Amino acid sequence: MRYLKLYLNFVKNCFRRETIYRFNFFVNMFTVVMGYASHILFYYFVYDTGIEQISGWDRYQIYCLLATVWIVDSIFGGVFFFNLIKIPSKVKNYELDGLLTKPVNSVFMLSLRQFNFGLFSGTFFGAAFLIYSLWRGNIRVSAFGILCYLILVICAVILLFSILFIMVTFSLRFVRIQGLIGMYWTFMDIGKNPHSIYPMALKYGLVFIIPATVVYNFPVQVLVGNHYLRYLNSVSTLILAIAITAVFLTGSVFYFIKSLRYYYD
Amino acid sequence: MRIQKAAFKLKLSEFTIYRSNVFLNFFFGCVPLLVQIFLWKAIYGNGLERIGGYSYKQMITYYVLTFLCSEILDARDNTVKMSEMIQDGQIHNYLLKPIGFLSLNYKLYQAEKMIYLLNVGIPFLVFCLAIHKFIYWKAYNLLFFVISFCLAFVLKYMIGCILGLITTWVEEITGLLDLLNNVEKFLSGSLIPLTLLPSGLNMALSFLPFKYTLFVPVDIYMGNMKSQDMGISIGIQAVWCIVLGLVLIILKNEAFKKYSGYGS
Repeated sequence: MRYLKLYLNFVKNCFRRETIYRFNFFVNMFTVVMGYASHILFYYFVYDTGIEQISGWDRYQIYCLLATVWIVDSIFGGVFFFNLIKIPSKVKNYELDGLLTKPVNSVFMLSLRQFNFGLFSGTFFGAAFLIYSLWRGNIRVSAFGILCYLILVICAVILLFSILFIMVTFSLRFVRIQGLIGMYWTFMDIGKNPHSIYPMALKYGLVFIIPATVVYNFPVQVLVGNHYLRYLNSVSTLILAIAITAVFLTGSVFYFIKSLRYYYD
Repeated sequence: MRIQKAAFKLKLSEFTIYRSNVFLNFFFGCVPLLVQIFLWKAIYGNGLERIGGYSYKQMITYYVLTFLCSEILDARDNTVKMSEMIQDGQIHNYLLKPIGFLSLNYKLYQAEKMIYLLNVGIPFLVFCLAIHKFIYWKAYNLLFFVISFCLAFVLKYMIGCILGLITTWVEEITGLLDLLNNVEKFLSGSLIPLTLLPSGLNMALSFLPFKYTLFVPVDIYMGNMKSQDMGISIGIQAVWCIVLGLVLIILKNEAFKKYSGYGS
């Protein structure tokens, strides 16, 4: 309860700041919308050349995938990204020392202090686009499907957090980690394409080694029924995603605690 | 020439510090190209021979070339640096030198890009050889490609400088830069070949400079343009260079009149 109150204060504080720099907020929002719109236009023009499907995905199924990418990235970007990305500079400028002395959980302080409303607003655009795609594609979704989708989106956001948290924790040991963050985005972008374009061996790698398709493809497959692996139905997809998320989250927190000991030394 | 040499030496020493970062960025930049190979294979798997006038090999080559050209033509760092120099007053140091600010800045920029090209040239060639099955090698328009690429280089530099100088009036331009970056990606053909767009939209894009900063040189390499169209496109690129050059000079004069060295 104490943490919830604290978090609400953080969000209020960030909201006040956003209202001061209103122009910046709208530029941020518009920039992000343009970025996603260009990806949607890419597929729009590709399908306009007369093709019916890309590896079994029709136009509106792909749109559902793009909408999911938009939703997941916006939640992650709004809630976690700007906090995590600042950890290396906090290490470099010794700001981390001050944070560690506070009577609050250090993972909480490091990952939830900032809330970016400009990026988070993309969630609503993404959701609107998802509803439009489901409606135009005549894709019927059950209540259970929606529940699975929401859980998988939460798993996706936690997974993105865990992987980036592991990467930025490296800065406690090596300080300069710009290249690693570039690598993070590169590998995560692989999951933003329909899974069926990849060969089978790579598909397994993208689940168990770099879970990029768990992040972006898993939620959408319970909606459109385009299953990643033939033997995975909605329930087994859900269990697999939760298990992978739990492993990565535990691993990231454990690695952070271990690296803190190194940092204290 | 002496200044160019000095600029080259300076950038070379800078490069040796950030070498690992440059190589890492380059190698990770190659990963999306591999994804493009899978994606377009699936798209062409529908039985189409050509899409937007490109065969499968040409399409992959288009993305490979687009990647290399975008990396070389990327002027964002220079724009941000110029903007920071105006913000914190460092530009004083350059204004006191017995050489024009833009001339010196261009020499440094050119040296930086030459060093980048020399360093990633071999890894890029190795990458192309690794995916040689998917590469379209017929480069009978190589000379025109080089001319067009050089003009695109100047164009991108000037667009970047204009944005950088705008800092004199608006102070913070990173949001504007990100926005332009996203718009430019689409309008320059970095995301999708412009021949896939409806002809009306493609025609409208011919009146903007972005098409000439990337799509035109790459399309010339592909040999899709008739020699007459090639001449016209290169001519338009030259006209854009002159127009933006004039805008840049006027803007520079106005900016330096307004510049007060606040923060220096």
